[in-house]
Amino acid sequence: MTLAQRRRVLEVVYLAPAALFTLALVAYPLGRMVALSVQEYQLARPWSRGAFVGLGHYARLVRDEHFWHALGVTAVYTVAVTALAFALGLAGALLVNRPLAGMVALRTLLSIPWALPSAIAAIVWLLLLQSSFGVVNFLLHATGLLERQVDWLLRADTALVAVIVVGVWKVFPFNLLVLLAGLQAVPTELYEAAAVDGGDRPAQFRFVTWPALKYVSTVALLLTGIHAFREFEQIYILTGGGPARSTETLGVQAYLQAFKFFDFGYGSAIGVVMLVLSLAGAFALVRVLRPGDFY
Amino acid sequence: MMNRWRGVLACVGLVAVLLGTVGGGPVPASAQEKVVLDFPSWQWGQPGYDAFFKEVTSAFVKTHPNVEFRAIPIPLEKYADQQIVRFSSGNPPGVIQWSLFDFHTFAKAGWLQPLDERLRATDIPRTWNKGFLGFTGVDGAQYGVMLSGSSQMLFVNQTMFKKAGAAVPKTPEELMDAAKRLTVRDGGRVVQYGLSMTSVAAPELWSYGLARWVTGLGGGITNDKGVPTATSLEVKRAVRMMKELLQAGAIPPGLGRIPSRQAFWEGKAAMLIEGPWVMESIKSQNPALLPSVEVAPIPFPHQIADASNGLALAKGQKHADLAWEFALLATSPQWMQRYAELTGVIPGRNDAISPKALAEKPWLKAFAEVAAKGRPQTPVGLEWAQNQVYKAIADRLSPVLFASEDLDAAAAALQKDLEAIAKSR
Repeated sequence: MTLAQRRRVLEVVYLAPAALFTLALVAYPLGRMVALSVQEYQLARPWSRGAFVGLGHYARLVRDEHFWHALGVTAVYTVAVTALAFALGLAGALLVNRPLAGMVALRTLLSIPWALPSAIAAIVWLLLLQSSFGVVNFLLHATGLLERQVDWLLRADTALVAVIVVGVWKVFPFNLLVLLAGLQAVPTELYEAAAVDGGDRPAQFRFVTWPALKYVSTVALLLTGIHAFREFEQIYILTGGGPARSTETLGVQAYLQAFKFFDFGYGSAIGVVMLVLSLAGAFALVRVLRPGDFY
Repeated sequence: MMNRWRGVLACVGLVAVLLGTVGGGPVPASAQEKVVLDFPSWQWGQPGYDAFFKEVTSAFVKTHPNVEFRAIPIPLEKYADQQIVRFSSGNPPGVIQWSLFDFHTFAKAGWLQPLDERLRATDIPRTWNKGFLGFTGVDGAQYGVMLSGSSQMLFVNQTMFKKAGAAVPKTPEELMDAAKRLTVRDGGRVVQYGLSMTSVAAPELWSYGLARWVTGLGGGITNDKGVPTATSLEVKRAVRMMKELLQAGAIPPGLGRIPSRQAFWEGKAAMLIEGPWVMESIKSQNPALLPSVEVAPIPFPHQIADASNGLALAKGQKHADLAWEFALLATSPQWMQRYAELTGVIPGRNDAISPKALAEKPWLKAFAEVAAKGRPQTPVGLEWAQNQVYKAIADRLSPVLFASEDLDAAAAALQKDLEAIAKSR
């Protein structure tokens, strides 16, 4: 065996544990999901369990008005949370990047929502937004902003807004931290040069800060978008997808189909669609904002 | 020569051991074999239930020293998910506790073992609550034994009633009047609600809320033949009553099943329709309220009683005989009495409320009487699809209750949803 061959064997040996680990924990569940999505697997129909149905579940998805509704809710939630969390994160990063007293403490405070487990955050907001005894209604009433309590999570016209607000609150610190890291990597000489050239603050932001942040912005937007797209826990705890399906995202729908209605085949088909859509979104965004084009 | 025979015997022994280990199907446990029965339950750690489980498992271990129980506490909301994972992977728990909500689904899935033959050797078919036993029968076979049933009563805060000069309601109309009269405002804000109940836009809106009213009025979401009845007078009347009280500010909106109980035991609501477990919560959370609490029959023409939870065996379960022995011990007269004493809920066995339990928990008598004659609120014919049914109800009726959607249109749409669910099997 030549040295090069030995090296190749060693590489394979070194990679094997990680590859096996990945196969077991990622590839197998994904493969199983895809396999289930072309099978009949309803607990209440044991006689038909495991029967191959081809693309039957996908055909059902196309005809299912609830699926299209959930897709729309998911799109609204994903776009709103991603855009608002990014905007808030950027504003926050610009604020705490200033060399002022108390900024370290402020950064820490602003990071808390990101550090909280999603389930805990959702329960806290559930209590805050509760119609009868919640703090939000109490404060709005006490300050005279509202005469009557608002049933935030009980009405279709407010529930999605409430869920988006909680989603933004949870994920904007991530954007803040990523963008702050990007801001701190910008050489101060560039700002000095821009100032010498007569550039005011908006011009400095446009010609120095923003180009420097493009790459980290891509990362932040991409990861926030994927996070929002697959968000389940928070929404499920806050509303369970209700009222009247107004907050039923694809993630919630897949869970309900599989674990509440015990139709694993159909739930898996929704999961596969989610997987394809999130992969497509990731590829598209990476293609649009290629690292080579950045500053 | 001797060595060769020893080798052959060792090989035969090894093969026998291996066959015993990897062979499928039930494994009879010898007296010496160490057996671990894992016991997942949402009731581990809960007052009363935890003590019962610890006592009864300890008693079992005394007569079966080779057995060890492994307690696995799981929240009720996650319980069915985890059981599904275990059953579908061919690894059911050693002790299988079922809840009202998923029992029929598991039985229909073919995961549970019919118990008819085992039950014939016991007094259970002859002496237990017939209504409860009816619930554990699926497609002509019995799949479970009951630990407890549930019945509903009206909990009343007598101090609030006396202050308002109100009488305990006995009819739906009186309930409406009392709920409005006992609602107290301070500067436009409600500081005391007349009636607390589950009032969320989620499946428990029905199972822990509206269903009690509809059942009390004599209706159901299906009739006795399993046909959906979402457009029935009883369903519409119950929705109208609840909406009227929500609009009057007499019911706090947005409360799940636990917070709705909490509102009562914290003295924020004057009435509550619930099961006997609420008394244990009051005792542990706000004992000062106990002297003010009275229980009365629900103010509807019909009383409500349902199965709650129990034990079952899985098909092909390892150590099925041991698990069955444990189920028989837990549901024996002695241990059912202990169950009532510790948990304060209605045991599955008819005659299992001891004088001691009645002395310590006098309200149990009223709950037991209702349990013997009440109507079940579980949807007949759609027991296997309860989650789907309750979700459809919440989706269709919450816009009527919490917004301004038309009741007749919503009920008609719900009827179609339920008919589609019924056809889907």
